[in-house]
Amino acid sequence: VNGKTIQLCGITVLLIAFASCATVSRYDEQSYLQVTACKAEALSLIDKSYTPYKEHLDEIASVKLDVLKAYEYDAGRAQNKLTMQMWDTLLDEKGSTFFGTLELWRVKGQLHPAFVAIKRSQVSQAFNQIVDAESGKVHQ
Amino acid sequence: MSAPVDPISVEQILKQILTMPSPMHPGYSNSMQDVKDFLLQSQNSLSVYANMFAKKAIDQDELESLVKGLVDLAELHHLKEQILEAAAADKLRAEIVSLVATAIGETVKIGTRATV
Repeated sequence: VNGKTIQLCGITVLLIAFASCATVSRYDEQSYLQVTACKAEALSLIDKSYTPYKEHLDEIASVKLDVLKAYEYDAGRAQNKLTMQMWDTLLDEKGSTFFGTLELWRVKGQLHPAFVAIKRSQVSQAFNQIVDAESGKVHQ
Repeated sequence: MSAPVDPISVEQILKQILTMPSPMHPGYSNSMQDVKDFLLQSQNSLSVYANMFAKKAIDQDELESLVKGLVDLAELHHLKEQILEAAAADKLRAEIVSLVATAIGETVKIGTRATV
């Protein structure tokens, strides 16, 4: 083995190290499945928001817990800062996406059907952004 | 009940969103045009919301929630695009490195054979 070979091997190691420095997390099947499941649960709940909030306390708590589990799972992944910013928007109780809508429902007791129909579409699109972002990441 | 909203109010809402100072949304600075385009595409939605409000099908809080929801969607769209761009860059880098590393490996093999 001559000096040139050692030099080339060194360059290869550096290249591999460089390639492994990803700027964003890789695709995660578990994360994808969790967020799609959360979307289904969230939309099912939003569909009921034209009825009294107090009639759905158990279901609301259950869905919120499932969504928070998905959030915590993603929070534990490296290089996942941008996805967490998306989750933060979705789960902001002062915002107007999922948790924000649940909070509005809680405060008002029940929501107008016309509002629920449009808000359902907004919440669906919001979850889709996270789903699309996850599926667009580099697969292993 | 609140007074009905005319189309001018919708224009004002949109104008307000588009003129929000960028320091409030540092992430928007690189692709503010994309966000503006997205919000302009939402103009029809804003008209629908104003019409529903005028007909008292939704109340003031709900109108506000729907408008804010559009802004949230714009932010989520922007973040998703950032993730997809970063993922594409990572993939390209990995492919280039793999190609170069393979070429170096082949070069080493040839060089080793030549010296044997």
